Amino acid sequence: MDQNDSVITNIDQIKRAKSSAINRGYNKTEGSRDDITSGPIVSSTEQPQNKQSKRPKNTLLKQQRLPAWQPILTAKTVLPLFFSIGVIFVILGGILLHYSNIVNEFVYDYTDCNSVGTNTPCSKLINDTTTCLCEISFKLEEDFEAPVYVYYGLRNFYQNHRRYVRSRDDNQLLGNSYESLSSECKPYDEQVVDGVKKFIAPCGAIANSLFNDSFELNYTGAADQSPPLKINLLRTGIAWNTDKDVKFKNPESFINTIKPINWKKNVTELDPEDPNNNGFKNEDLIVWMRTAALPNFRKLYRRVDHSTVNFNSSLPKGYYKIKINYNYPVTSFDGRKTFIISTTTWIGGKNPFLGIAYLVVGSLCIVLGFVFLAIHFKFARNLKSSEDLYQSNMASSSRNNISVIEASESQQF
Amino acid sequence: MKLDNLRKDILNFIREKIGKSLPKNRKIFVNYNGTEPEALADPHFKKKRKKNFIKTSKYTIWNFLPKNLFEQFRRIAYFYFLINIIVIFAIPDPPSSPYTSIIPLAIVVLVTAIKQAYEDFLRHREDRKINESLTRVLKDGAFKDTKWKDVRVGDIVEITSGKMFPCDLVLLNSNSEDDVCYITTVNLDGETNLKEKSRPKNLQELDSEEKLSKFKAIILCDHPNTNLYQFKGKILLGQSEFPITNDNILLRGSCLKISPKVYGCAIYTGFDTKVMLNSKLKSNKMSCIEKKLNAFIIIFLIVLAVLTFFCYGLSFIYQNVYETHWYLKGSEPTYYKENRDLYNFIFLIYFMNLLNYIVPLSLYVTVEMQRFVGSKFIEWDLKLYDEETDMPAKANTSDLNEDLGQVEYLFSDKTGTLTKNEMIFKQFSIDNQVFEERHGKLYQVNKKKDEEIKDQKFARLWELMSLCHTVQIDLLDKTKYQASSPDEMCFIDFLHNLGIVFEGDKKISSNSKNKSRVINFQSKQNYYEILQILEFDSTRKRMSIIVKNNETNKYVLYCKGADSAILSKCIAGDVKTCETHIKDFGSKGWRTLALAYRELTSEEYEICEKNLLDAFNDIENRNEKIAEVYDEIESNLVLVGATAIEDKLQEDVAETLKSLRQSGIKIWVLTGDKTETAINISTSCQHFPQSAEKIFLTSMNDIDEIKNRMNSYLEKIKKTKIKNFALIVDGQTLGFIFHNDLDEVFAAICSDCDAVLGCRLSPAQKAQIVKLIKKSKTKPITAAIGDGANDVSMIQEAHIGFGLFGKEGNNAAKSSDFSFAKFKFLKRMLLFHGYLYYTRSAVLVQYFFLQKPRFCDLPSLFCFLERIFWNNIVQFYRFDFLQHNIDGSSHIVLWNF
Repeated sequence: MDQNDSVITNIDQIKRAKSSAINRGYNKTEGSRDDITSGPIVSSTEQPQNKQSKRPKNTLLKQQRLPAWQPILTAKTVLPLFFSIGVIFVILGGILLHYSNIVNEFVYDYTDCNSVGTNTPCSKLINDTTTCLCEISFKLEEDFEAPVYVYYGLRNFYQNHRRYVRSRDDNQLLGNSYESLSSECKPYDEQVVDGVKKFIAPCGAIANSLFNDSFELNYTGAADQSPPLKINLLRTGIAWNTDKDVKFKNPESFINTIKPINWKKNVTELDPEDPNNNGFKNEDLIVWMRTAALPNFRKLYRRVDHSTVNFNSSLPKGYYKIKINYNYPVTSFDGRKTFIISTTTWIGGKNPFLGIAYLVVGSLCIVLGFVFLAIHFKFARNLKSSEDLYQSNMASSSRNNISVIEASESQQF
Repeated sequence: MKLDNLRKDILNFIREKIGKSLPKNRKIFVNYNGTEPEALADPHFKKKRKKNFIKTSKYTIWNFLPKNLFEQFRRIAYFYFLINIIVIFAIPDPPSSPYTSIIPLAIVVLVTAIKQAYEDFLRHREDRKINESLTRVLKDGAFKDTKWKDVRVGDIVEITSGKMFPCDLVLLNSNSEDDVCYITTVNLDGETNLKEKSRPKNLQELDSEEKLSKFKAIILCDHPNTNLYQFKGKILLGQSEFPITNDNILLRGSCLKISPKVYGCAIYTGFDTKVMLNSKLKSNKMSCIEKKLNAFIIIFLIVLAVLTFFCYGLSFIYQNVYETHWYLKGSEPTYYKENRDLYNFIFLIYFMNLLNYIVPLSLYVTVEMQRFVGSKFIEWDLKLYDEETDMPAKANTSDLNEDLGQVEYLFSDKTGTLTKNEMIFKQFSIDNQVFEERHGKLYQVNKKKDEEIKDQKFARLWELMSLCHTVQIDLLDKTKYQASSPDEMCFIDFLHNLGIVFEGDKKISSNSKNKSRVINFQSKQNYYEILQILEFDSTRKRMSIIVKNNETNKYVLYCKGADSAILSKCIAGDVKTCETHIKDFGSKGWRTLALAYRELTSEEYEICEKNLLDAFNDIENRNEKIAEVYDEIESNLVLVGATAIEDKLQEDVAETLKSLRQSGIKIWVLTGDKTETAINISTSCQHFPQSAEKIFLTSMNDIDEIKNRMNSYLEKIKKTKIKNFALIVDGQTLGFIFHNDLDEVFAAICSDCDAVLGCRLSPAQKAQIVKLIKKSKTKPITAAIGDGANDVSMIQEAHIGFGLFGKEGNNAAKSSDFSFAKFKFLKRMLLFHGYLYYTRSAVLVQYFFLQKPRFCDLPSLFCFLERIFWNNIVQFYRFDFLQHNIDGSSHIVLWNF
């Protein structure tokens, strides 16, 4: 590179020497062109002799010749693109829709369910009594292949409210010691009991509004005649591992704490059976604390225990009964509660939207492809070569077109 | 112009009223220290001794921060963001962390500030270097080293060879035999030839420190002005007066050569120096996109306002959320209950804050960055580089790149722009005959027998051609000549071929006042004493020299110039045949000069000399008086003949003009040349399409006639369907058109012509034409290209000015926006770079329209769909925004190239 440059400079010098020899008598104006407008002039006593050539470097960058590619959209390139995109999308959509369809899902809206033995809906009763029990019978039309999950769903519940979202103290949930709780928790942070100030554990509006309905699922046989067989539901393995291992840790003790105002139990008594699933490590709590982004959401409630004999491979089709311990009020803000049993596939639960979207876009592409194909066959001009294109541009004498060609010339490899 | 004059008048009026009227001339006390009676009588003596201190920097360390910030926050977008940040800090419980707004703003402000700080740092360094450089000033009878900044008006300065002049000086003495000194003005106007400067005529010798310290004089001169080539003033020494002309002035920025040592008196210092005053003239052109940027931002603000109020309106649906949703109870802000109006108001601000990314904060910086890189690409372009002169293109401004692609009208100079300005002597006409030179011998055109050069009929011609010029022998290389006019150089070359050699100006004897021109006429040396040189100017369009033949002791005035300027002054000689010959030359596209002489008696000369001296001593009306004297002496001429010089076309001129025309650019050629020559060049370079019908608006003196002619043309143009006209207009007619408010009709005719050719135009008229088109109905983008000082006004008037590095100095290139070496590069500039930058800028601005709303579509969509406002999603992806904002907008710049 260096060698080349020096050669070029030499040639330049020779050329200049020649040209000045030709213009005998001319003192060429080669002096420095310091701009008059660039302010004061610094003393430069050197003669402008033996100056380096001012020739710009012939590099790809400086000559704007960096490799570039610009598609020229013609029927030949565009039509295959349309068809291939269409085919790929339709296939993808089909696959997605298929896997969404083979998911078995059962959804039951129990918001207005009646209290056992009465005709009054629990939603009205819970304001007066402490608990209200619902019983709902339903039939699964198909076998639900293992693993089967149980969810609860909420509608019109704004877990994403800005102030609600922030109303927690992560430091507390990490089990660290604290002198006072984060101000975000207010007003669910402290309570004075018998003149002693106690911290609410866990503090904040999110924890305070923990979903506290509970479900019990019973199998009543394929013909709804056998005695109810209680299905074992697992309370663990429903939260994210990161949440459970990293973000939530129990403190050494819960001394000097008090349960949130709306709760009926202490945080240490959330799981009566498994002592490890208590305190801040309780997975129901962890699931609830991961706030939903949208106002209509479902959260994982339990996993079906497939180790019991009858439910080894699936939740068999037939009749079931759920007993709901109805505690959670939603009717005041027009919310709905649902109970969901579902299987999953590799794309998750039942969600046909993605598959349909792919199908629609794919088929649109194919339709458009055919439309363009028809237009192409009917109206296409036959341009033999780029030379023709150039000529036609010249004829139309549009400056932009000419320069397009100039520009594209320069952008070629 | 009118406004300017009015302002001056008002200022003068006020000054008179309060008794502080500006004196008509600058009064300089040379060598006074303030104790002299004259100095004490002048209340402003101290003030008049201005220091030679300059400051080009904008900021100091202390005022940088406030001043720079103030300047930056004048931009609407920045200011909006600033307000926004203040509001975020002011309101309780902001929806987003203020840092998400502060960081991007800080980044753009910081980038700009750093750039400006660095530029200012460079300026500071430069200033300091200049202000602190040393020169020698006479103090208490001896020269002492003094910093430039401490030189004051009236000080006597000593300059040695190779040094720069610290300020504008009057030359008082030069320590060389012939009392002259030589300077280069490369830094001022790009001309490399040495210029001779002499001390004011008849001034006593001041060659020692004692003499200088006793020299107490008063100089009266113009107030500081920008004219580099004119100076009016005189030295008052006791009762005698000595006129000062431009020949006695050493300007700051030029450099002393050859002469060992000179003494000068400071007349203008610091910002009053001509070079500094000129630097203020920097044209401040704005591109059309620049003008629209603020409008774009206002559009964005309107969109923002609409979105904000839309979301705000929707939010009312869920206003009582804290009452109905029990789980939110208690998390409502305190002022929610106390003051519902305040709550609503803050709510509005929340939305404004949430959506504020729609305002394109980085637009200015990005556009600036893109332009900067763009102008570099112009300078780097090999296809705009000229091997011969070793000149790459230069972009003096980067603000106009995108306008290059939108030029609709191109105004071009002819000489030096379309043509090479390399003169070849073709033929001359004398005594009804036309001659030409072939291989060092003289032939009559179309004849084979060569002519005797010594023939008496040529004698006057040879004398005239070898004497009437301003060519000098190069002082550094004695074998070369230096010429500021290529025509004259061409004469000397032609004579050289015939064996008539100009050997320079010499003093033949020590007691003679003037130099003599030495002409070696076929090995015989002739001496002519130079008495006066009446220099060329564009109003007279001729130059003359008065010489005394040392052998015959006769006084003769030799005059050469444009035929129109000479022929009318001739009283003898065959004017008619000469005129036809000149026309004939012109039709071949050659430049013609008419030559004439006048024999003067010694009395006539003495009167003339006295008149000239008087004129020079009159500072106020010097120019008018000199013109009068010149006019008087340059009359009663005897015609000698006429010469024809070919000016070759530049490379690929026809090609370039053709493609520009095909691109829809209208090309006007504006020249000072003769109509015939201009038409010829226009045809030969295909400026006129071959099929075009020529319509003329030339040499008319009657307004009514012009009106009629123009109206008939207008009708004709309207009637014809295929418009293919070429308009030819000359300066004289144009003057009438402009003076009689016929501009609009003229513009209407022009807009329908394919090509327009203006001949015999003065520089001011060129600019006037550009202005006329610029201001016409459609407001087209105009570009002007030229190479000489006479094109500067046109170049500065047009939207885009192109300058060619010319043979006659670099004035045009300096005042232009883009400069390059050859006319043919214009095609690449306009059709390649112009197109490229226009699309790039357009894409960039359009991208902002795409990118910015895209930032906001999610939050606003969310608001719309869920009807509940801010949420955690918005909070975490705002940092995404931030990142996108920074690299998203800069990568589009890189993409662009």
